[in-house]
Order: sequence, then C-alpha cells, then structure tokens
Amino acid sequence: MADWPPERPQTPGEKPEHPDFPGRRSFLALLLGVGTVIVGALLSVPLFRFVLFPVFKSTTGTKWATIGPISKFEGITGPVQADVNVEQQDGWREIYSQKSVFVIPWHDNSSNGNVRVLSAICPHMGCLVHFNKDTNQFDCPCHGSIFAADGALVRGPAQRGLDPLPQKIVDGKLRMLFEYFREGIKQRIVVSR
Amino acid sequence: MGTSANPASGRQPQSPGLGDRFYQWLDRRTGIDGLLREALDEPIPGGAKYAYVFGSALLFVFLSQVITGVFLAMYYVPSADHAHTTVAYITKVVTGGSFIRSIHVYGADAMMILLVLHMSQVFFYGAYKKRRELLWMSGGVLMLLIIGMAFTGYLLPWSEQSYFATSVGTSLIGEVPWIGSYLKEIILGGGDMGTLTVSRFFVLHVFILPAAIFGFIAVHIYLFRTAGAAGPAWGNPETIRAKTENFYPRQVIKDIVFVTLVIMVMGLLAYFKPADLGPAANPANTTYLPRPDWYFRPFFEWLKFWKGGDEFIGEMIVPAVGILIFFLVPFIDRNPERAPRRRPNAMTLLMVGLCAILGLGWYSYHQDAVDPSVAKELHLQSEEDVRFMAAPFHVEMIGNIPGKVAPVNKTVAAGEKIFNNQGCSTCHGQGGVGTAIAPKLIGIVKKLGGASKVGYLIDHENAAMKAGGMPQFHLAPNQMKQLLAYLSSLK
Repeated sequence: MADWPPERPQTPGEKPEHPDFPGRRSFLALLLGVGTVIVGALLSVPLFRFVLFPVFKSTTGTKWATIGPISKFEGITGPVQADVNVEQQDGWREIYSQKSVFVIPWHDNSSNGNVRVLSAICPHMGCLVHFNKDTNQFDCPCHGSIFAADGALVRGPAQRGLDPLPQKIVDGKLRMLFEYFREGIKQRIVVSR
Repeated sequence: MGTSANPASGRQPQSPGLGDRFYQWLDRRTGIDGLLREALDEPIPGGAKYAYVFGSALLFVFLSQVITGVFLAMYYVPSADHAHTTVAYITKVVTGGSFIRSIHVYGADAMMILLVLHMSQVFFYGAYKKRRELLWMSGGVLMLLIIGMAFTGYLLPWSEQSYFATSVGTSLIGEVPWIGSYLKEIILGGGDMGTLTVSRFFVLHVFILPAAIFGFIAVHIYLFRTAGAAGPAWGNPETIRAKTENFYPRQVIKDIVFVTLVIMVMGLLAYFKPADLGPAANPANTTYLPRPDWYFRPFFEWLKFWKGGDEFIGEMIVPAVGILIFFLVPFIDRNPERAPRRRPNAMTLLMVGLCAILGLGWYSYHQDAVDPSVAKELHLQSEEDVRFMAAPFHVEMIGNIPGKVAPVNKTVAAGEKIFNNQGCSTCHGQGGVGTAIAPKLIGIVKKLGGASKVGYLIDHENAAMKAGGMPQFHLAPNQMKQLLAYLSSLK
C-alpha cells in the first residue's frame, strides 16, 4: 500500500495496448458517432420548432383600423395620404403602430364609397412611395419605380402596381385591414396580416 | 501529434479505404488523431466503472442548460414589467416553448442531484487526497457557482413564487457584518427588489456565472488529467494495474448509458409533467408564503433553528466555516489511506452530512404538511399556479391605446378610484387581473349574469369569499353604482 495511489504512467510503454483507434476502422466508433448524431438531431427538433415558431403562427397580425369619416374623402380628385394607427400584435405585446396608406378616387359602382385604399409599401423591395403632384404619379425613392395615380405600374423595377387593402365602411367611417404582401413578384400574395 | 497519419500497420496489407484516406487527409491538416488520442486514451486504473459517470453527466447537463438557456433568451425580456409576460408567452404560446423551458427547469434540478452524487463519490473514494487538492478545490468553486446559477435563475420568471423566495434569500445578504446593507444594494440594484434586480440577476445568470463556470470546468478537467484518474480506493494494486484500461471505449460507453438515462428522465418529465409557472409577482401580497425550491429547503429549515441574537451564527458563521472546511478537506485529512473502511471519521462525516441535508429537507416539507393553516395556504398557492397555467395567454397592452385602457365614462372613472382606494386592487390586482390570493374580476359581471348580482355579493358575502379573507365593504348606493360601472367595464 506504500505506493498508493499509483503514479500516472509516464511513458507510452506503460500505457495499455490500444487497438488502432480512435476514429479509424472501428465499428464501435462508427456506431457511437452515428448514434450521437441521431440522438443530437432528435434532441434539436424542439429547438427548431421553438425558433421557427413565427413561420407557423402569426406574431405580427393587424386588426381593422379606422382611417377617418368617409365624408372626408368624398369628391377627392387625387390620392390623399393618411397615417393610420393600426392595432397590431407584436409578439407577446399589442401595440399601436402607424401605417401609411393612400386613399384614391375609385368609381366602380360598389358600396366602397367611391374610394380605394392603397398600401404605401412599394411592391418591389418595401420602401415607402410618395405622391408627386407635378407628375401626378407615385415615385419610389429607392429604385425609381413609378406608379400611376390609380396605383397601376408605369415603370419598374417593381413588377406590379401598388397593393390595394381590404376596406369597408362602418357607421360612416372608412376602415381598412393593413396587410403585407410578398415583394418583388408579379402576383399579389398576402404574407402576414 | 501529427505523425500518426501513417496508420497502416503490418496487419493490414491492403491499401486504405476511402474513409481512412479522408481521415489521414483531415489529420494532416488538423492533427485530430493526436487530439482524439489525448482525449480518449486516458488510462483509468482498475478499469471503467459506473461510479465514475457523474462528472461527465454534470458536464452534459450543463451544456444542455447552456443550449436551452440561449434559446429561452430568444423570447425572454429581463425587465420587471415584461419578464413574467415573456415567460408566460414562452410557456403558453411558442411552439415547443413549454418543453424547452421544462428541460431547463428540470436540468437545474438534475445539476443539483448530480452535484451531490459526484461530490459524494469523490469523497467516498478519497479521490481528493494527495496531488488532487486543487482538483477538489476547483470542484468546490464550481459547486458554489452552480448554486449561484440556481439562485439567480429562480428569480427570472418574476412570478409570485420566485419573487418572494428571492426576497427572503437576498435579505440574508444584508446580514453580512459592516458591508451587508451595501452588498445587498449592489446585488439588488437598490433598496428594494425591482427591475434593476432582474437585470442584474439576468447578467449574472447569463454572462458572468456561465463564463466563470466554463473557466473553472477547464481548470477542473486540466487538473484531473494532470493528476490522472484516481481509480479504485481499495483492492490489490497489482490487480488494479492489470485491469487498467483507457477512457475509450468502456468508460465512454458507461458515461453515454448514464447520460442517456438522464436525458430520458428529463425528457419524459418535461413532456408529461411540464414545469409550472405561477401568476406574476405582486409585491403587495401580504399573505403569500414564500418557499424556496427543494434544493434550498435544507438551508431554509436550518435557518429556522436560529432565533433572536443567535441568528447571525446560523446564517453566516456556520455556513462560512462549513464552506471553509469543505475547501480545506484535502489538507485536514492528510492520511493517504483511501479505502472507506479504514477512514471511519471521514465516512461518519459524509453520512452525517448527507443525513443532515436529507433530514432537514424532509423536516421542512413535513412541518409544512402538519401545520393546517400553512398546508392550506400552500395548497391554495399551488392551485393558483395550476389555474394560471390553464388560463390562456394575455397579450400585454403597450402605450396609450385610445379607448382601451383609460375609462371613457365619468362614472367608470369614479368607480376605478373606489376600486383602488378601498384596497380592492391590492388583492384582485390592478385592473382586476387577479392575484394569487383573489380571483380576477375581468368579465365578472358577465359571468355572474349582471351588475346587480355582483352588487348583491359585495353586500352579502358568500362562504367562499369570507373564507378567502375578503373584508366586508359598506358602500353608499351611489358609490356602489360607480364601482359596478367600473367592474362592468372590465372585459
């Protein structure tokens, strides 16, 4: 017992013989490696679901918001900009966020009050367009897309006209639902509401 | 390292396969073969044993805590007004959120159990002796850091439970002589627990303590490899030497088997019995019975034995001396003998220590169970937790949302004043959101079928309200009308 605890072997010769491992031609090592990868992949499934949660569920949904009394927009002859407080979900909280829209004259004999609500978000890459009274057109400040006063596409790089938003008139007030659309494509696809 | 890129021994004359060629290619650039040999060829005297698995398991669970913790921080906000909302959001709304939080909560429990097992094994085997003094002491530092992690992490959800347990825990710090009150203010970020406390605990829990733990794990492993594995504490040295084998493969497999068992237990618990979250902290709640998490129960019970002027001895001196002795164990016990049978004093100490911890913990729960008023209150509190968990997530309203928060109508505004001034809000919460001691009043008028029914109940309390401790209020008819208008507005 005098030499206890034994000193750690200092020379390689004292180490026990080991087979030609690690890593190489060892079925066991392969088994352990593959097993670890499979178990690790299984364990990371909940983590992926946790991170990808906003893809599957809405975290930024908006609610119907009032732009103003419809009488305010009666007989307008060109686009009128309106900044609207939109009640919006923002993850675990609910906020009022200001969104820019344009109300333009629109006569289609429906009950929409002879107006149409357009999102100010450029359908190319998401900059906010503004209305140029001199040219009677919408200009995008970022990449130079131009839209007619009715929102139709005049010149790219945008591939479609300005996006109309769902609208309705309740108790004489013009209301709209602010939506986001996929950018950079021809089709109009709602991405989140 | 590096020269091992020439593995072909005489036993295998055929040319190496694709896998081997890739391994050689990789090794020439990374020296991975040498690294693996260094990591895996650690000789273990006497061979692999299940007794040695607890250290690896601790390391594994710690890494699991780091990973789940990083992901939880993706949604968590360290501030007194959002912490509880965001934890509730993680638990109730985010996919996989309850599971990941549960793994983190049960991981903390697992760390504590494994810590005791690891230390007991090392002590039992006398593996702190001769050449391993610093190894033992670095382990002691890791133990204190892990206790610090448990303490700081417990507050972060800012629930009733975590708020009151932490407020008791931090008042201990104030008992330190001379600098106590300063120390407490530094840790709390002021005279009282608040949003600065959450920030401080968050920084400690997420940056400072984990960084220190990583550092001391490196020190601990380095010292372990320098001293070498201790091996069996008894037996014939020749037999032990003959049975010596490397860490790989048999000890690695034993470690993996045990760690897999730990993962399975944690996973099953997290899946079938997710960790609870109680209602948000209400600092005005005077009836709440604070209880620490189970691993602090022995210490909690210990403190009850020290009353009056002696408190200081139990709170400070005994723990400080205990920790000092813990660190000095390898220097106090200098006898090189490791066999437990020949170390009766050390074994007695280990047994007494473990029994004291288990006994105090058991006694703490036992006392709560036999005192009917305590048992009833704790039962109500846990029922409140269940009720909060079952309720849907409430989105937090931010800013001045027109017509949403401020009452529009004069009668309602007057009613709100009565609600706050008469102390209704103390128990039923601001805006009638409910607390651990009184139910929420949002939607109460609709639920009971009309304001007059609510008014009748306020005048004629039923048995449940009396039992719950609701005082009798006598309001003038006009005041009652205003209060009911306010209650009707809570939707």
